[in-house]
Amino acid sequence: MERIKQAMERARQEREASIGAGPGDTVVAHADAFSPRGAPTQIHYTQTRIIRVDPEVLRRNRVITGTSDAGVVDAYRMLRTRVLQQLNANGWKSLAITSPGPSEGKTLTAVNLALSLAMEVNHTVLLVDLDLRRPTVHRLFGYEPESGVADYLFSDMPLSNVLFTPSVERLVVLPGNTRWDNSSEMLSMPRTREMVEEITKRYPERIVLFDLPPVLMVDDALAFAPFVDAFLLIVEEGETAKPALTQARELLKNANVIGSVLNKGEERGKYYDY
Amino acid sequence: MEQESYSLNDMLAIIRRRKSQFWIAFGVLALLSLIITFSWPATYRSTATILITQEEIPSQLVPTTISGYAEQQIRAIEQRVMTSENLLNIIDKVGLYKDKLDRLSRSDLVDLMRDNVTLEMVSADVVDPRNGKPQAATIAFTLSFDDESPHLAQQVTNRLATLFLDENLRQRITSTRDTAEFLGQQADALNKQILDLEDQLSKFKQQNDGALPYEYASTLQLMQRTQADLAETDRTMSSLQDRRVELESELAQASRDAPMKIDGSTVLSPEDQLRSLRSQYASLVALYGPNHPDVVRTKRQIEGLEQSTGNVGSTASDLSAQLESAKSQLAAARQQYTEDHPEVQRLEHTVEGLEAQVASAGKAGGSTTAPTSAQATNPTYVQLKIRLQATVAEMQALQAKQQALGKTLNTYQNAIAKAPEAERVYTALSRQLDDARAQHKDITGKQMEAELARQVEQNKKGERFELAEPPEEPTDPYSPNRLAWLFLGLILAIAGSVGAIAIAESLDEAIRGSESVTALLGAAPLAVIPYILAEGETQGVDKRKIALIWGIIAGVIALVLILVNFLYKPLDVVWYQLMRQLGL
Repeated sequence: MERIKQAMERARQEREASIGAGPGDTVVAHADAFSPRGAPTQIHYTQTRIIRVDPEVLRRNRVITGTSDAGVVDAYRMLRTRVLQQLNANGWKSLAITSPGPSEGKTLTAVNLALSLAMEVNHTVLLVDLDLRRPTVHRLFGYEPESGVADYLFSDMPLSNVLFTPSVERLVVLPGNTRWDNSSEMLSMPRTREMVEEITKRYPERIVLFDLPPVLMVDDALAFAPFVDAFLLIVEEGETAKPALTQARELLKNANVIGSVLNKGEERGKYYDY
Repeated sequence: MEQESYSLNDMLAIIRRRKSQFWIAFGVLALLSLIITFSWPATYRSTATILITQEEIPSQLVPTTISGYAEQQIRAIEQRVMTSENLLNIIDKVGLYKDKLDRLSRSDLVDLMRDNVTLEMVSADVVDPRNGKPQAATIAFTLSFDDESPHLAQQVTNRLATLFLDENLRQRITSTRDTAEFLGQQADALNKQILDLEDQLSKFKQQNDGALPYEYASTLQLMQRTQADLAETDRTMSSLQDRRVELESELAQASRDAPMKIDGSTVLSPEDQLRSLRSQYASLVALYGPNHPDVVRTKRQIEGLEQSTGNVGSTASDLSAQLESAKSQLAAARQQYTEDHPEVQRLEHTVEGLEAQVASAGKAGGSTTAPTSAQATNPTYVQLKIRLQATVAEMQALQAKQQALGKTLNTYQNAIAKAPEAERVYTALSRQLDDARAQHKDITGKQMEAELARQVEQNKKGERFELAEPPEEPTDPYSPNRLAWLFLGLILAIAGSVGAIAIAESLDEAIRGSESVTALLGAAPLAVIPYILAEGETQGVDKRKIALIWGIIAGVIALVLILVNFLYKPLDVVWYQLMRQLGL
């Protein structure tokens, strides 16, 4: 009991420390704490774009909200907890989310996991859309950004212009917007490494989620693997083929795969009415 | 693919997952079977029952000459009736298979028709009276024909049944007639054989008269009697011989003429005178010349006597004696003289003359003694002569009898010698004849029975086919059994759907359940996220439910319509009835 009390107390203190005065401001402050050039002197405190997200849009896009199916929310909570356990145990900060094939729920899982993580007050979460060929994260929030991660990387655009917050505390999104066909080269550039180091290491309580293209379709995920702490494999029930999963695991054998998520699981009946 | 074993949960999961696939496959297959079942044309069957009636006259009284079991006969008749010719005839006359006439060859049509003819035996369990064993006896058979037209089915069955009845009758009559005819021919042949044998036997008897077995004893007896007769005759003959010798000697002693007594002395008979004169003449000639007066006188005397006695010329013996002496004289003269000596020439002349005389006397020799039988005057001589003549005649008669008896005996002896061979041949011939007669009797008896059987068949009193139930025009189709087809189709649809699912499942490599993830990755998934319903998806579920309800309703209606069509009346009939009731 004592330990729990201590943990709670610590958590509360940390939260107060990180949040500061207002939720939006704090996040913005943290998010803007680094500049593209990495020069601390040039930090400008600009307001991060805050997006008003229509709950209807979220529901239509299957993004979890307060009114979502309790079973689904519970499932994501389970995922969040287990992911956190893994990350904490290994001191990891970044997590890449991918799957063997396309359309198996990578982006949705990434968004929902991000939201779920953000609901826990101990962390802030940065969700980076690195699926440069088909960036879709922003669409789940019903938002079309003018600029994306590529602009930040290659056009010297300030990060603050690119980031947005979907009216959820402790969550910042770095969207993609244009399609890039030479995405794997871009992902293996030193600039990218710098960016990853910047965004992961600056704030201790920040967790960075990367939404990556399918492992078996393109080599983006493999090229990006050295820059990220761990991988999470998304599997869709009734869709992902067994050989594909085996192959994906084989390709990622040198990376840290913390585990898998089974989407569209039909076993809900077993635990659902708990 | 790795070894997979399905637990009950997996099965349930599969069923839940593949529900829609199942229903689609099932729906398609069921619809297909429905369409086939109800679009298959109905076939009508018309059946004739043909009874095999027992003979009216019990077979104990008149046994039939037709053998074989009823079924065997029916099958034989079937082979005769179901010929291509007969069937094509029916096809033409009834107008069968009009729609197929130009598409199928004649032989195909015949095969098709044969396939549609059904011949079934109707059996009854009976106990065989001979051995008490139960067995099935064919008492009737049914003849059916299937066709899409009930009317044609009935017509064809009718014609086929008629063919069967006719063929049976014809066959029975032919069969019995043939039997009777055959037996008649056999009897005729045997008859001829008997006549032939009888002829042979009678000829043999003729040729071997007395040698035949039954004649042997009598022949032996006859032979013995003949031998006795012959011996008797021989004895009589020898006694007659003795008598003849005796008589001849007596006759020789007796003079032919009684001695003439002139003046108490016996006068020489003319013959004796002639004989003495002749000797005188011969010696005179030798002594004198021929022209000597003594010689001439003697010669004249001789001639006179010769004329009186009829003894012309000198007897042959006299002449030959003269010739001998003349020849000896000639030989002596030749030794003394030459050939030209007159004495030799004279002698030669004499010899020649004598030789001529001898020759002429030899010729007329037979008649020289004939006139001697002229009046014998000695009574004793005449008596002796007569007795001799009688004896000779008797001997001649006996000789003839002897010869006849000898001949007869010879015949009998021959017959006895031939007897063993004759017996053998006779026995053989008799046996053949007996055999032939026995056979003839047998065959004749059978022939009469066969003739009787023929009469029975001709008067239709024998076992025969009777049309117990003429073919009727069927009102209900015989096939297809749509209910059975429907049921079968349903089962096939289910099986097909299950099979389709099984195939789909076995081809499906997708991951199912966290267990398979665990199996592949070595760790359970961190979380299992259920399917997240998007906004508006709840509405979709409702739509599906509504569609399902509509589907059920449509199915029920279809089922009701099918049941009406099948169990009550065809739907088109129902439809027409409805229209009529509505006055349309």
